[in-house]
Formats: sequence, structure tokens, C-alpha cells
Amino acid sequence: MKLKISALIKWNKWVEEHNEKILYDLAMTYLTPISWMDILSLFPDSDKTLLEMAAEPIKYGPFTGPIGLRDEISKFYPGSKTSNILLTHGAVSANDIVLRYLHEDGDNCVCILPTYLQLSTVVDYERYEVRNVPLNKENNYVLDMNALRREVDINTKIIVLTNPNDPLGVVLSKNELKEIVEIARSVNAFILCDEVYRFYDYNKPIASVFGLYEKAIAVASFSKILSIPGIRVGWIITTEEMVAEFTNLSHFHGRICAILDENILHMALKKYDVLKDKNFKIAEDNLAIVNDWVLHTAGLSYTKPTGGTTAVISYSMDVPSIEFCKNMLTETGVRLIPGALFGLENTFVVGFLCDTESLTIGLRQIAKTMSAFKLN
Amino acid sequence: MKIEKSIAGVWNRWIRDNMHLVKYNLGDSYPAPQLSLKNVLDCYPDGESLLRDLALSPLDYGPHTGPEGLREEICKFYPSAVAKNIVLAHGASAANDIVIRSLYEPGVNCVCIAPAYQQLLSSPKAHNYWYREVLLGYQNSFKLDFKELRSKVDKNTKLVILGNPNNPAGAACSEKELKTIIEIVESVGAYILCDEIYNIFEYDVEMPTIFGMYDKAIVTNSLSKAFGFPGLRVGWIVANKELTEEFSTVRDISGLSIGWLDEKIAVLALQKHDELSRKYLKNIRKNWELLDEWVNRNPHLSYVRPDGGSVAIVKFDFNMSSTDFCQRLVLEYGVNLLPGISFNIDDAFRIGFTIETQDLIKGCEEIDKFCKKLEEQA
Repeated sequence: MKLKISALIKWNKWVEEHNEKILYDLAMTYLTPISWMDILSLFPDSDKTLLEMAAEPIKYGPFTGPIGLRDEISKFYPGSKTSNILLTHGAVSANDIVLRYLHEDGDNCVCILPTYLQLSTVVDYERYEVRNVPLNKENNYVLDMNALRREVDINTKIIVLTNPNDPLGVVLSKNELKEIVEIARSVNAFILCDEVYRFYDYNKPIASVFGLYEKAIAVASFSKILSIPGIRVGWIITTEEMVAEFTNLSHFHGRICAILDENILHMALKKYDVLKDKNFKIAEDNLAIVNDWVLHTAGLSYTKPTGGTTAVISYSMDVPSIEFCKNMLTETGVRLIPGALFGLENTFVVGFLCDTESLTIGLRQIAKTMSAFKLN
Repeated sequence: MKIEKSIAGVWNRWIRDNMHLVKYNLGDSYPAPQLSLKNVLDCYPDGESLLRDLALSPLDYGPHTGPEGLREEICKFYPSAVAKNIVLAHGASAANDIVIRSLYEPGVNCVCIAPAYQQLLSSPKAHNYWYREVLLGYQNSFKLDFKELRSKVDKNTKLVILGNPNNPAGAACSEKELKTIIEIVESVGAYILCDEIYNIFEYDVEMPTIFGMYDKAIVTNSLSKAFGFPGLRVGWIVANKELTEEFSTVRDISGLSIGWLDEKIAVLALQKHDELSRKYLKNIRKNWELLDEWVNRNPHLSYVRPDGGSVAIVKFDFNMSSTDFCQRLVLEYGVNLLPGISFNIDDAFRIGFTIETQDLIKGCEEIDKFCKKLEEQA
């Protein structure tokens, strides 16, 4: 099947062609990645450990991933066991496995929008009948449960969402998740919740959908919170029965993860707090800068994120967001993401996980250019 | 999606729980022992500083198309390929999956040459292709019957899938045979997916790559088997440029880039492929000869000698299932084989012979003892 060339692919191509123009990258959802040595150096004898790791045969690890690694992951999910976890080739792979495996002809899929663009692309590619429940600005991006209830029916195979929302950064509370569960239960549907940004929680811990419902499936990875996107290890966490089912597909989906990636991740998790705190502090500080800037810049408004690493900012000018962001990049070197890619016209997305200085200058540049737009 | 129950999966679970009993592992299809990063670095005069560089580089997403040099290194194995003909994937299984998934359209059929690596047969069914099979077996010495292939393809055939060499028999298609296959496939305008993961293990028959012989020929391969790095998870697709563009967009929604560190190691390993492979390839030919002598010596066993690859499928004349045969071998003799039922051949086992020669010899001796015992009991 031909994959539709989406607005995202077109946008990425354009950015690639203008790559050298980027001075202030405000489209980043993770900080500058750390190295293998950064992780090793948190342990005594890091040089010796490096040599030992290098001397290990690069063989297939256990099919379900090393037990110790899944144990570490399961600590992030109260009530979970190792057997609830299937390691996958990044969270992207996890989403793909779930959506493909569950699909049968005639199924519909209810998506809470905006959402991670991979999710909407796969849903479309797998030929689900797609039903959208948008989060609206007028409603402060709070999910309208009645709208969700209206869209589901007996043919709904799965409800797909991101929490915190990607890219809005709004968070569904545990009570809201339970309401979604009740709606899913009424039609016997699965829930897929992409929780990749869950560990960036600015108000209080963000609940996982895991354990709230026997058909709830959560997907995540440590790429963002630990700044290790090149470690291609993500996971699906759900009931043991569903793990067994998904394993069937994961068999021809690249099977196991790379053993070195798993071993490095396992080490990193032993120092999770140290590594996380550093990133989290920057994210929190940067969010405060963004917040201050939005409140003090004429023509801008937004709903302050309580989770995640992006914010969606509305502007009052009558310029399409793709044009807006193209102008910003070519004129000022600031890279933003057009809201139109997420169906949010007249907004732009700021990924605020960059160094604080770039963020500050970048935001100043945006404000300056906006006043120039107005003069035209 | 409906995926048929994998017979190999049942065995895999059983053997996983009993692996501690295995002294001689003849069940795998990749060379043993597996290589380490150190083995790679030792081929370089400045190995230690290379390791340091690797350890100090950020664990970022790699470039979309893989790190500089990796696709060029891979191209060296395909005389007519350039970097744009290569798409990197998370192992050959992900590579196969991307190809089979991308080419599907409602109503099309897929002709598979069986037996084969299980995924190559079950994936087209799971992806809703109409499934057709051309069966190889002892009766035809695992040689493809071209007439049968011709009778199975038609204008709705989108894809013909084969392994060269075949898994589990090691039967190879020569250049001439590949040309005949192409002529048949071309007559209906279909694509060919050729899994060449064991292609480097050549004995008597030369197995050229099919890439470049036909515009619609697609090859998959990885560093897992013949290259000795199963745990790197670096695989690839070789195809024409229109196809690789399509495949890479599908790859983006199914798994994004492969491990950055793993890709870097892959470059280093491929640059020193000749030196690294010398470590094990020389033994493998000897093992292939030993295997042949052994099968011919044991009156209860017979097989078709593999032309290439790392495995052979050996028939036994005892009245028992292949699962019983292989389970007893593990429990009573500490030898691991793969039951033939995994390939729908229940009076045979698959033996992997690209292991340390001493282990192969000892493993075979244990199998002889078991055969003696079965003979006495009969």
C-alpha cells in the first residue's frame, strides 16, 4: 500500500533543505543526548567497565529482553510484573505493533486529537475507519467525555491517545482516564495510551493507563526523559495475555532489541534519579521562560502545559502556520513546528527542551519578527 | 491481523526453559562464538581510541539514512548497488516485514517457496495476501520445479518469496536458475523478495545476489548470521530507488532509525569484514565436510547436502516425531537441534554446523549414541 505523503513528510523535507539556517532549534523534544561514557562515569571504574562491556559477545539477548531490565521498568508501574512488559524497538515500534496487531476489517479507531503524528499515520495506513475527538481551544483543551462517548460504538476496536498530550502538554488526570476506561468498556474496546512524555510532570505525577483496565495498553520509552533517543528500546505494558499476543507480531517486527542498547539502558536506570533530575530541572526552568514570554507578548495565548516538552501557542495574526514557521526559520533562524501539522491552525509548537540561552534568544527573535509581520 | 501459531515458537519456549541442559548447541543458524565489539576494535591499530570515541559520542538518533559509510560498506556486497539502493532496518526480520507490508494491495497473491524461514511464509498470510506455495522436499532434492512455479504465478501475483540459500536445506539457486525464476516472475510483472541472509556461506555452488538481475528484485540481509553479530540488530533492504523511498517511509512509521551505536559498530565491522570472517569461515568449510561424512556414516540418517548456508535438514528413520527426538536429545544427551516440524518436516531435524568444530564433532557423537539406543530399543 502506498503511504500517503503527509504534510509532515513535506514539512520535514523543507526543513532538511533549510537545515543550515537553523540557529535556535525550538523544535526539540529532548535535550542534547548524553553518551555511553556519561552513564558509565556515574559508576566506579568506568574505564574498566567500558572494556568489559566491549568484550561481551554481541549475541541475541533473551527474547523478551534481559529480566533485570524489565524489572527496572516495572518499578515505574505500581502493580506490574516483568511479564507485563514487552520490550520493543523504541516506542514507535510499540505503537505500530499494537495498532497493526489489533486491526481487523470493519474496525474503527477513535483518536483523541491532536496526537503524535506516527499514531495517526499508522491508523490511516492500517485502514481503520478513523473517528476523531478533537481537544478544543475554547474548552482549554479539556477532553469532552460526551464527544468521546458519541464516537465509540460496537465496532470500535481501540481508543488512541497520548498522555501528556503530544503536542499540547495537557494532562488527563487519573479520574479522566477512568472515565475513558468506562467509555471503552461500554463497547469492549482497547485503549492505547502513548506515555512517552509521562515522566515530565510539572504539577503532580501523571497516572499511567496501565492497570486501570484489562484492555489498557501503555507505550513508553526513556528516550526523552533520559536524553538517550539513540538507545532504541521502548516497551508495551499491558496484561500478560496481551503481551503474549503482541509477541507474535514482534517476532516479525525486528524481534529483540540490540543487546548493547539494553545493557547501556539497564545501567542508566540504576542512576535514573541523577540523570532525570538534571533534565527535569532544565525542562521546568524553560517552561517558566516560555510561560513568561507568552504572557508578556502581545497577540499570543496558550494553555500552559502541565506535562511533556512542548507547548502549543496561538497567535492572532492571519497567517497560515506553515508560512509563519517558514518565515521564522528563514528570517530569524528559529525552528518551530507548524500547528497545522497537528490540525491546529494559527498556532505554532515550541519544543522547549533546548539550552536555556537558545530558548531565550529564540523567543525574543520570534517576538521581534512578529511585530515586523504586523508592520507589513 | 491474524498470525498463525508459530510451531517454532512452542519449541523456542521449551528450549528456553531447558537451555541449561545443553552442552552442544547445534540448534542455531549463526556462527558461534559470536563476536564482540572488542573483536572488531582489535582489527584496528587505534582500537582503544575508537572505543573511547564511541563511548563519548551522544546517544542520539542517527541520520535518517544511517551513518555515513554504512550504506557504502553494504554496497560492496552488491556490485550494481549505490547507497540509495539500501534501506537500513532493525534486523532482516524488520526488513522482510517492511517489504511484505509495503507491497500489499487488496486482491493480490504471493507465491512462497517453502519450506523457508517461518516469517517469510506466515507474514504474507497475516498481511492478507492470497497465499500460494511451491513446496521443496527430499523428493526433489529441495530443487525448485520451474514448471510448478510457472503454474502458480498469474497476473495477480504481486510477490514471489524465496531464500537463497534455502533455510533449512541449504539448497542454492545458481545464476542460471535465478535467471529462470526471473523470467517466470517477469512474465507476470511481479516482485521477487529474496532473503540472502545465509548467502555468504558458499561451498560448491556460487550464489550471486539477485539484486541487479531484475528491476523488481528485492534483497534482504543482516549482520546477524554470516557476519556474526546477531545482537546488533542491523539489517537492510536492497532494491531500486523508487522502492527504497517507499520502504523508508514505511520504516519511519514502524521503527524509525536503528540503534545509533549499533550502526557505528556495523560500519567498523564491515570495514574489517575480511579479517573478521577469516576467524570463522575457514572452519565452516571443514565443518561442512565433517557433517557430510557423519550423515553418510550413520545408517539412520540421510540428507541432501547443503550447497550453502549454515544449516542442513537431516532425516531420521525412527518412528517418532521430530519434537520427541529433539527433546530427548536435549534431556538425555545435552544436544540442541531444531525439530523439523518447524518446517513441516516431522521426520527430520535441522542442524546448525557453523559452530566450533570440536563442539560439532562431540554433538554428532552424542546423536550417534542416541541413534544406537533407539536402534536397540526398536
